[in-house]
Amino acid sequence: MATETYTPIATTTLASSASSVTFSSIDQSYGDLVLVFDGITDTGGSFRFYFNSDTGTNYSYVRAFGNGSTAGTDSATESGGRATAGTLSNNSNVIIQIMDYAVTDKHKSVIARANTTSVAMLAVRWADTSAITDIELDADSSAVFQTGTTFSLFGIAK
Amino acid sequence: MELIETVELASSASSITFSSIPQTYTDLCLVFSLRSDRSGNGDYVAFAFNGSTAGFTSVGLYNFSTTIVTQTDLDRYATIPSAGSVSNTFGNGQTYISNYSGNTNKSFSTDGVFGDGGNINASLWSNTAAITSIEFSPAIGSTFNQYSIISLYGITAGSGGATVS
Repeated sequence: MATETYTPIATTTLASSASSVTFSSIDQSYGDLVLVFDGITDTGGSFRFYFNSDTGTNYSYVRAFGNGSTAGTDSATESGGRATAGTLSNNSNVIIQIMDYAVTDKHKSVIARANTTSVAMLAVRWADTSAITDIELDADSSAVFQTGTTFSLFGIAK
Repeated sequence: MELIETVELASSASSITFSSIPQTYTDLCLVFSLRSDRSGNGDYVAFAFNGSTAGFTSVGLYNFSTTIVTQTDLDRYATIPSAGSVSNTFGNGQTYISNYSGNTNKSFSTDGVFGDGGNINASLWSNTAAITSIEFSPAIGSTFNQYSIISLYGITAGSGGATVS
């Protein structure tokens, strides 16, 4: 029998607006994680993700993006993981894949696909060898995630 | 992730449709390998949800050999090879549709690759109806080639388990 993949770990659909959602004590038995975001903020502002409450300048990304008229690439190292380009719009769909999240011998690699006012693909590196046990998603600045926004975390079998 | 249905063409066909999609999953994922009969080099995949092609917009980022372009379309979501492309190549990719049975507009993402390029697309169907059927067709050509194949998977999310603040 084939091994099941995309095993549901947790899902939260916001019953009221919120500025932050956290998945804690994440099961360490999978190979990869996939986090699916479906929703919007009140301002259209985006969000950042943080592993194990690390708010240091340890998240580097390279990004390719396009908004229908302008295409580009950029990169930066920031205090929080970036998963999008442009602003969030009608139920933006963002898929974040976190590879080898449970190992302790490598920095963690993330591939993010964003469906916002721009389409974007990002490769993110978290410069830390710790196993990821917690993931926090914070809306940027003073924005809040709106009611109905859904955050789903899946485990991918190894 | 659970396989709902796979369709492989035994002969060329103008479209591939998944009907009566179960409403019991949270998200859908479609994995495709397609080629069209368009005489030029390359074609696009077009979608219809619930039999409708209205209300779609898509922002794409395409890499054709060494050129990267971005464009907004109403009916194009992935690049695939066609009759004028390298022989025996098919365009492989996947489309992820989140919250397909909900009552909000439907956002979906497509990644695709074939021998002469690749794409990522951010797409929106401005319709609050639950998606019960999905039709794939070539955007320019008339038919998909024999051996074109699409698999539809259902993904069930968990419940609870996150802290909201």
